[in-house]
Order: sequence, then structure tokens, then C-alpha cells
Amino acid sequence: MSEITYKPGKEPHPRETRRIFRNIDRKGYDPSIKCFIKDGGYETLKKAMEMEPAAVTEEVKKSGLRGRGGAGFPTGVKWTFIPKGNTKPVYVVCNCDESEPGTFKDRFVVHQDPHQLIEGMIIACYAVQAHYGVIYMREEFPEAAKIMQKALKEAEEAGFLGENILGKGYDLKIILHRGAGAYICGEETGLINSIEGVRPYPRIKPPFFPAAIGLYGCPTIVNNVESLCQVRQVLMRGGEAYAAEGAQRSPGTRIIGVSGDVKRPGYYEIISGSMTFGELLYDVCGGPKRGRKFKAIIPGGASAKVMRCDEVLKGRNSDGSVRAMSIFDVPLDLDSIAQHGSMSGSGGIIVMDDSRSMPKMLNNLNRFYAWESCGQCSPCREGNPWMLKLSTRICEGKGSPEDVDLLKSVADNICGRTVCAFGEACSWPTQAFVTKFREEFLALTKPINALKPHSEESKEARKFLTRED
Amino acid sequence: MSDTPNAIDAITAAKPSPGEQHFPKFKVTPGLVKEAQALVAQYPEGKEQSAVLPIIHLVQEKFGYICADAMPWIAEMCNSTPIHVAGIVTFYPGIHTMCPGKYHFRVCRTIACSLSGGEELILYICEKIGVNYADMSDEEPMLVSADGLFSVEPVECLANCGFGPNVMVNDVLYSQVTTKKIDEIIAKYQPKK
Repeated sequence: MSEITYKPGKEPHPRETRRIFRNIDRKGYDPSIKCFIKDGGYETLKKAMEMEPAAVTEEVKKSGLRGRGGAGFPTGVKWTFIPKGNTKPVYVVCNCDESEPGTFKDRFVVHQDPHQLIEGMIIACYAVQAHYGVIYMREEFPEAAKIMQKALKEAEEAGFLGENILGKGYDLKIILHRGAGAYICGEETGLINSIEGVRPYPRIKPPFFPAAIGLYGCPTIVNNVESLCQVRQVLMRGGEAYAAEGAQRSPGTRIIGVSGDVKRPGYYEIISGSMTFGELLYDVCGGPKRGRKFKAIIPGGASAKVMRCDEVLKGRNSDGSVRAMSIFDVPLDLDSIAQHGSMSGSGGIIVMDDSRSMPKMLNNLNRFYAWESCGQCSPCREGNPWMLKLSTRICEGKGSPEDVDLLKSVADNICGRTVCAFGEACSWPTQAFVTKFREEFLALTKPINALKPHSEESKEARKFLTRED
Repeated sequence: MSDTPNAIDAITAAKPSPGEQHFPKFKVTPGLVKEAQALVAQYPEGKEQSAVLPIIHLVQEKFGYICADAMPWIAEMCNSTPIHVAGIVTFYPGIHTMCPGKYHFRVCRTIACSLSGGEELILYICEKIGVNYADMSDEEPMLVSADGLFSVEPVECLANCGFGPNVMVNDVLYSQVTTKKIDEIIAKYQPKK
């Protein structure tokens, strides 16, 4: 086993409420089962297994827990989609293919507290009566794979996995399956195909969702790492108590990852809706870097639509009247930001300050999507490299003003015309960047500014790219 | 019919790399077969094909990359066909058809890392290990130094966005990497003269 390079140390901010991340960076805590049990681990499992499987599902439904992978679908409801009178085996898959740019929460759970995930997963498996579970881990976590493999072995030796768990006559096997660096494997049907050993092309979903026809044609529940850890919290606290905390329609805690141009980027676990973007970015993350101002925020992983910081949003007061607000007044829960045309997604916030050129940022994202498109549907396979070409051309100062409109038109024509949500994920950034920062794109197409953004010659044209220097 | 090689020939064509001197040549041993069979046994009966990725990882870990000879063997192990294995190998960016260096640098260049200087870092590493970034091909985006010790590959998102720029050297992740840290890493792995 190679040396594990994760070291604890970061103190939680006083405004955080660490539950899933309770043991992350805690001094003296290691990923072994001994440490976990000493900390009260696997007690919730014992409690859950005293209950009927249907009662566990009911508890999760009552809690109002919503999936943390990005789509925000209610976890308990997903579990009930398994067809009634099903005779086929049921599978549970943990989606640990965290690859949305800007998201970095699952990494810490699987590296530092793997048993928390295993316990949550056993509870989920028990609730849907699955006897086989798969943890799908992305290839870029080789150390985590070793830690998880060891943790699974420890759990089996301690009798929490294998045959006749806790003497309840329930058998369960969980294996670890490693991906190989493809973003599309984070899509649940792509992930299922990847486990089946075929090319991970997403499947056409309606009418059959994985909960009806999934892995090997059997009912399959796919849940994100954080969702499964939250299941454990739900059972620990009770469904009603869990639902009472945080934002009404998305209760519980959320892990927010902040990256980009702030003083203190990092991960923060907060009660859902307990603070606004402004409080998070200014009070908790320390505000913009010296002498800079915030310019744009991507609020939920790279696929979410970018928000301008000087944009005036319409908020609704409790008496129904409309008031003007900015992105900084929007509370951090799953729904609030969606009302303003973006999404909270997986909780990865990317912040850009006024030194950044927006066409350049979009070009970077377009390269990501062009690279990661799986190639199944032609609008996405052909459209993404086209968008990349256009944005590269604009950034190089070789574009014409029509290219800006063409760029948006290509994005509009990918959106909604593909098998999976990748089509939306790749077109939303382009649509939002081009609509909201149109003047920057156009400025680059004017002959006077037909220069690279940060080259020496462009000093004159620079004012079109940044608001102040 | 023309004489141009077809797609399968192009996939399996050997891509010579100086990295090969640091890895053993692909050879089937009883030990390797046993390890592969253990991986197949993890999956439900009749679903041997699921083991294709784990076996590919096993081969890549031991021999550095998936060479043309390995594909039929992998197919045999998981009850599949060589062309199916070739399809899997060419799909995933994490699987190489060309041997990387002994120390393989994977540098993240996606938005968050790019904001903190990931793209400049790729150029710096290229310069340090004596390769030309412009030579990077789209097919196998990897550059190997002449002595086969180091290789560099730009990758998309390593999921540690808050602490960029991130660089993975083989299995170890380095975050908040500076050019000074790159110098240290390279010096650490450089053989003592």
C-alpha cells in the first residue's frame, strides 16, 4: 500500500454544522473500523435492521431527503420505484464517480471516513432488499480504492457484510468497481453500462428508469455518496426530526465546495438554507482576493448556468411584493437558486473575480465538454467540438460578431436533443455565458481588440475584458 | 479495397514509447491468471464481462499500458471478444494504449485548476522534462521524456477543485502545486548520479 497523503488539519468554520464531515480532518481519526465503532459507528445500522425494510424506506421518504448528486430527486421516492411484485434480484449502486468540475465533497468521505458510506449503503440495501451492492469509484481515486477495499474487508470480518448480517438472516455483498476516467460514467445509466462491461453510453430513460430496468436488466437503485451518508443521518435522527431542519423543501445539511477566486476556498458543511451566497462567500470564505471584486459565480458545478454578481434579481417578500436583490441574497438550498434560472446541482461553487476574461472561462468549459462527450448522440458529439472551435476563435480574436450568435445557436440546438442530461449540461454554460456576458464576447470580435486577452499588446483593449485593473 | 490500415489495425498498432524500458513486457503468468479469475469471481454468475475494466486496470498497473497482445487475453478472461475489449480500451481516457513514463504526471486543466494556474503548470512540466507541448496528439494525449522516466498528460477535473492546481503523480495527488513543488517532485524521482 502506497503512502496515504491525506492529512487532517483544517478546522471547521464556526458557522458550519459538520455531520457528514464530522470526522473529516478530525485529529486522531483514521479510516479504520475500530475508530469508527468507537465513535458510535454501525449503531444506526443495528437500529435500522430492527425495523421492517418498508419502514426504513418510509422513514427516508418522511425525511424529505433529496439526492445530492445534482438532480435533487427525493431519495426515498426513488427507492419505491422498484416494481411491486418484483422477483428479480435488486442492486444498489453507489455513485462515487465525482467528476463535475467544481465538486469535491465525496473525495473526503471515501478517503477519510469510508465506513460511514458503507453503513449508509448497507441501510439502503436493506431497505430495498438488495443482496448485491457496487461502489463505483472513479479511477482518479486510486488511494481511496485501496482504503475502501480495506474497509469493506474489515466490515465483512466484523459481521456487517456477508452472510446473516447481525443474525437477521440478511445477506449482502458489496464490491468496489473502478471506473477509468470518463465523466459520462457519472450519469446513472452510463454508470450501469460501465459496470456491465460495455461502453458507458447512457440509456434512453423514459419509460424505464434504472429502478425498473437497470444493472443486468434488474431493478437498480443508484445513489450518490453524500445521499447514502445522509440516509444514515436520517435513520440516526428519525425522519421527522431530519425534515424539520433546514430549508423546507431540501432539509438536512449540505456540503458546499467553493473554488476559484476567494480568499479561503474549500469545503463547508452547512444547514441547508441557513445562509446566503453572500454570507458564504464574504463571511465564511473571506471575500474576494485583495483588490478584486466578484464578477461571476457558477453556483452548482460547471454545468449550472453562470450568475453575474451585478445582476438584479427579483425576490418575493413574504407578503407577495417584489423586491430587487442580487445573487448574494439568495439562500443556499436546492430550490432558491433555481428560481433565478440556475441550479444548485452538486453544491460546487466556482467563483470568478474581475480579473477573469469570461470568453476564456467558457472556452475552458467547452474544452471539457468536447473532451468528455461520449459520442453516442450526434448533436452533442458534433456540437461540442464546434462550440469549442467557435469559442477558441473568439478568444484568439479571429471571430466575427456573428460567431457569438452562432455559438449560442449551436448550444440551443444541443439542449434537449440528446439521450442523457449531458446535452443540457454542456449547452447551459454556453447559453448563460453568451447571454450574460455578451459585451465581452463582442468586444473580442472588434478589430481593435482582435488580440489575445492577456498579451502585452492588448493593454489598450483590456478595459473591454475587465472592469478595473 | 485500399491498402490503408483499418481502424482495428490503427488501435492495435504499437506506439513506441521510451517508457517501456521501465515496465516489464506483457506476459501471461499463472499468478496473473489467478488474479484475473479472482476479479471475475466478484461479479454475479454469467456476468464475466463486468470484469473487463478491473482486468484492464490489473494489466495497466503491472505493465504500464494495454498492448495489442493483452487484448485477446483480457477478452478470454472475461468471456468477451478482443474487439469488445479494444472498444473499452479506446473509450476511457484513463486507459493507455501507449506506455507512460515511470512517473506519470496527470495535470488538471479544468476551470477551477485553470483559475489557479493549471495550464501554465502543464507547460512548465513539459519544459522541465524536455518535451514539446505542441507534439501532443489528440489520440493519445501524453508526452514521454526521452529517458522514459517522466510523462505528462493533461486531464479533466481531478475533483479537488478547492485546492488547485492539482497534479497526480502515479497514485499520489499533490494539491496547490507551484513550480517549486514540481521541481521538488522531479528532483525526488530523478535517479542520483
